[in-house]
Amino acid sequence: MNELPAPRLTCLEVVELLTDFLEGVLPHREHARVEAHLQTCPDCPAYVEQLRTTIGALGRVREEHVPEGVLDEHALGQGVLDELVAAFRGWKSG
Amino acid sequence: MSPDALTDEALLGACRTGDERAFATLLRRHHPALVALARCWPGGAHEAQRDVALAWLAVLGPVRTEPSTALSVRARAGREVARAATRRTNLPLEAPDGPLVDPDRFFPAAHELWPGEWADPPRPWGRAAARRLSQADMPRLLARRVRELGVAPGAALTLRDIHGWSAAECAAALELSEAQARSLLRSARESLRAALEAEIDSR
Repeated sequence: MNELPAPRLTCLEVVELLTDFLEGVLPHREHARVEAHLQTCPDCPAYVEQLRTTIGALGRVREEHVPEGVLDEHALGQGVLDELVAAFRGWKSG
Repeated sequence: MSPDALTDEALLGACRTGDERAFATLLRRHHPALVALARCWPGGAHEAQRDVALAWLAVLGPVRTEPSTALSVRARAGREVARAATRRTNLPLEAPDGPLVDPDRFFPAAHELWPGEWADPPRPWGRAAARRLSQADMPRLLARRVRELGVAPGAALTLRDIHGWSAAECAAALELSEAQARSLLRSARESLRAALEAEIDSR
């Protein structure tokens, strides 16, 4: 007997599944249902594009963008490096 | 061979023989992500540095035979950072409650024509949005939003999307299942997307 086709996902259901979809961990059948929805939905592709753009923009965040002026304190400047290597020297001799 | 050419595992082995250059190389590779992780918990830069130092101390300790040694070096260090920050603040990782996207943006499940479909759909981000996103202040705005996410979603997003750790490393560092880590990531990404949407729609 042929398997009944799965009902169309709603936009709300697609939004809930999108991280798993983008991470490539949805089971094949669910992945296909999301793809089918995205091919016909007038609105969800914009949401997917926004999510992908957001992830891309996050990839451009660097230490110097961290707020509260912590750059000088937590970036691995020579001072911090020296301090940790000195601690390392203490650990190995301790 | 220059330490820069060695894998993390090889560097860790060299560290255990007392090689300071190997340790400095490991620090240069992973310190920013580890401090950024520690900064997801409350506290200042000093506390974060201490969490990271404690983490390295734990990672460099005696070789253990526990299953976790199959983890990458940075995932092991991340796990120790998360443990140190949790001990310091007494704040365990907790998933946020509530729906992902504002439910008012969808027609209700009982709607006659469009149950669960967008009532207030997202608008495509066109060229103006691309220009806004490429402006110099945008990474700073995003970094500020990440700090507002809360410990657990902030930690998941920091490792996965900002520092590019694998999903498995991210979950291992936070001592979560990959499904739990994805749940945090889903919530965090949506918060950031919504923040950007508000920023772009306001222009």
